[in-house]
Amino acid sequence: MKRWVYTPSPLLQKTLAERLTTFPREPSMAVYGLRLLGMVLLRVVFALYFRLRIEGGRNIPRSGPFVLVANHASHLDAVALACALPARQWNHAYAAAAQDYFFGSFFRALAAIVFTNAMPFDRRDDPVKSLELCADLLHVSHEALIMFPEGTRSADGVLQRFRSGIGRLVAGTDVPVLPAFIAGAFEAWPKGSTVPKPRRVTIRVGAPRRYAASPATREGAQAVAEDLRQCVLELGECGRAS
Amino acid sequence: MNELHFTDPVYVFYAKIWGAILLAGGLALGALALARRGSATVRSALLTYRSWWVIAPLMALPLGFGRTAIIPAVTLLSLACFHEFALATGLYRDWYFTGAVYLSIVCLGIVTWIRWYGMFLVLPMYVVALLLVIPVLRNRTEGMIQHAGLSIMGFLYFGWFLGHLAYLTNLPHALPYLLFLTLAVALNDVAAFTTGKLFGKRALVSHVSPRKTWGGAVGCVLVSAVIVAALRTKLPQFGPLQLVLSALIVGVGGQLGDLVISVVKRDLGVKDLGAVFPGHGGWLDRFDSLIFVSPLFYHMIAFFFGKGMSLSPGG
Repeated sequence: MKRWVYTPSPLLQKTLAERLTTFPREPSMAVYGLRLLGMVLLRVVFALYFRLRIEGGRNIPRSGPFVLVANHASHLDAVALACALPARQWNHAYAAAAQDYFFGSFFRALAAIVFTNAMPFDRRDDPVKSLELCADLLHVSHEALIMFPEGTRSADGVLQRFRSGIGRLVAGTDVPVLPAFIAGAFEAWPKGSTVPKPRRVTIRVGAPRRYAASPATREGAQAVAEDLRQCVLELGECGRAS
Repeated sequence: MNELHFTDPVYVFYAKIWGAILLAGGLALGALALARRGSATVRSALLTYRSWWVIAPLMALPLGFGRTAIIPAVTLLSLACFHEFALATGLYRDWYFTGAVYLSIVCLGIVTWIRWYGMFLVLPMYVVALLLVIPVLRNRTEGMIQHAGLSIMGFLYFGWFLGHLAYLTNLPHALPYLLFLTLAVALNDVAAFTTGKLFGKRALVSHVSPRKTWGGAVGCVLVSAVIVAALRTKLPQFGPLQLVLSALIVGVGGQLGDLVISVVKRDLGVKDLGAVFPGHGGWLDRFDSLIFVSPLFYHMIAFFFGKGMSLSPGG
């Protein structure tokens, strides 16, 4: 008789807190269920309180890998972008979140995982390893990523320099990169403020860009980052003009 | 039993016993820790002891809030135990089967809530039917006997067996029975651990659990007899026969429940089934004996005192 093969979960003997910070995560029924509720709740809150408007949402692919790149000036950014995702991508698009902040406390980690499907990004000690993890997600698991290449929230709402990590991730590959601009999130909930104000938030998603022809070098990566920053800036300005 | 029990004399009595045992245990362990500083055994015992301060209130609160809290609490416990089992076997990757078992356990809770005894007894038939049909509906065969088999065991053992603990709330005198059972099984676990360390050399079942000895097993049954004798006045309706049966069910059944989960763990090659309670392991490591004891204790009561439950011959 053939013996049954058991493959126990690697999470079995870990505590709940350890389970939350383990990445890559395996699909979990509980997290998917909570996320379904969370997404509905987010959409209601964003529709009523922030009167969220999404322009160019159709640019986001319904399946397959992509990188969504946006400006970062508020804690609302990642959850606002989650509202722009098509339902099929809810469990497949990972928001790169600062490990030192979002995975430092249990409830923050839980909220980040449920609402934004956060992946812990170690921006301080080992960003190279985190970038490799991102590359695996994109190229091996064919999942999607949401990134804020500024690396941190802008204190004054002005777009900062883009780090070259995004370039290293996509230069020389055929993964579509979508620039997006989030307007109003800074006014609603800037850095340092405790309670979000009811201001309109608008997300503008640009057409996908590909960098297959860019060289996978330091200069190539910087050029990609600079190009994406220009795209995001333009999206921001075209909103101001209209 | 729908009202709050926090001021019920039986509840207060058992709360005092729990408090006294926890305090006495703490003092004894504290003295031991001072006498034998740095001993690894004492340190692990302290860890196990600390967890009891979490486990005891976790059991005491639903018992105090009555049936409205006990049934959901037992259902959640069943779900947690099955979840650990699914993680340990790898069944959790198959959402069709695990989802079906989770739903079935919730159904069992509802059936218990509305006191539908007939359905409580035949629900396993419907669940087995559902689980066996899942591969047919999915048009899949590979590995399906394993998944269905593990799911059936999961529902029957962690859902239905443990579900009898919740169904006890539908019997008269449920509160004293539940308080007795939770205390006796907990003390029995501690006794099994201690007597196993102190007495006996001949291994009971060397392949399943090398540390369990015959001396420990007999000592454990004796301890549970003493517990039953000490609590006999708090067990309504019970005569000598029921008291002897209770001692055997708790003393023998408790150890068997422990060994059943040991077999599962050994076969899977895992040490613990979780890390919820430091020093104990997971939910399943803590409540393994209660799972085995609950249905036996329930049906003993139903057999002798369950009027209209048709469990005695010709009844």
